[in-house]
Amino acid sequence: MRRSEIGRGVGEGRPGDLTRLLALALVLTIGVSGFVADGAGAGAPGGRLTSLAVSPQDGTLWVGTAQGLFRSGDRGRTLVPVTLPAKAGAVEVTAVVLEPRPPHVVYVATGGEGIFRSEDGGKSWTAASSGLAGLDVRGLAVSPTDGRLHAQVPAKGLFRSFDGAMTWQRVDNGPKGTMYTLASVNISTGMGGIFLYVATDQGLVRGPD
Amino acid sequence: MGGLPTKQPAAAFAADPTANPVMFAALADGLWKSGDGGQTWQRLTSAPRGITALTVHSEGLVREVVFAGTGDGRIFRSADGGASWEAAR
Repeated sequence: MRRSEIGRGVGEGRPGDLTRLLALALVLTIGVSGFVADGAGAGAPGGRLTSLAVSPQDGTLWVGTAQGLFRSGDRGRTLVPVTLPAKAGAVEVTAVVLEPRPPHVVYVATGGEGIFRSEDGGKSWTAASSGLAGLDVRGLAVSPTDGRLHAQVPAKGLFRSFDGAMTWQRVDNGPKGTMYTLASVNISTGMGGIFLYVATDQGLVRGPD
Repeated sequence: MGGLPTKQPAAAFAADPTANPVMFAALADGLWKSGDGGQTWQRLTSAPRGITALTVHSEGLVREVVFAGTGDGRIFRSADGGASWEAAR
């Protein structure tokens, strides 16, 4: 069928034909993909994605972006903005992590307003930056075994917390380069233990907890 | 980290919270995966490009459900450990 034939067929048909055609397209979409993605192909409202985390409690997908925090209850199809008690309206979220064990505390690191924590699934937030040498936080990791936290503040160093981000202590300078992801990983082979994996603009590096 | 080109810029990393976890690393040439706690790595050829965020978790009996986010704000999901992907948005 030539293009002109397609155009004439739709344009000259009865008004109901177009409706039926659209309904058929919708059915085909559902049949092929299994769902209708209302935002399919569209970027997140916050622009560049910086971090993702899934709640082990209810499957909520947490989405950190260059312009704020979002959550999704349908595997990322729709994103709902989450308001942090930040001075700036749309603060840059640099990391989102959840404690693996109950009560699955949510920790959010920001580029300029420090760290926030929530014990009620994001309904309320408290600032959790006491002891950090700066509020521009570029990496945040939670240990899978004991819940200890690590956070990187550029030019200030790597910090550690043993009390759920209530207080922080400096460890050392931390890895070189611009940090994109900081993760705490349980490796039981070899010497065994918790290791920090760090994604930076200079490569992926690994170091002791 | 056997086989992983660790000198490439790394934009994102994820590991599940188990011992010797499955790991994913988004490098300049694509997404890499280790299923043995980082001893060996393989590049996933069907993964989305431009990944800047990653997470991996379990959903019931499915151990390796992966979400990947990109620099242009898109989200992808894999329910088979990164072998195949669908756009969530």
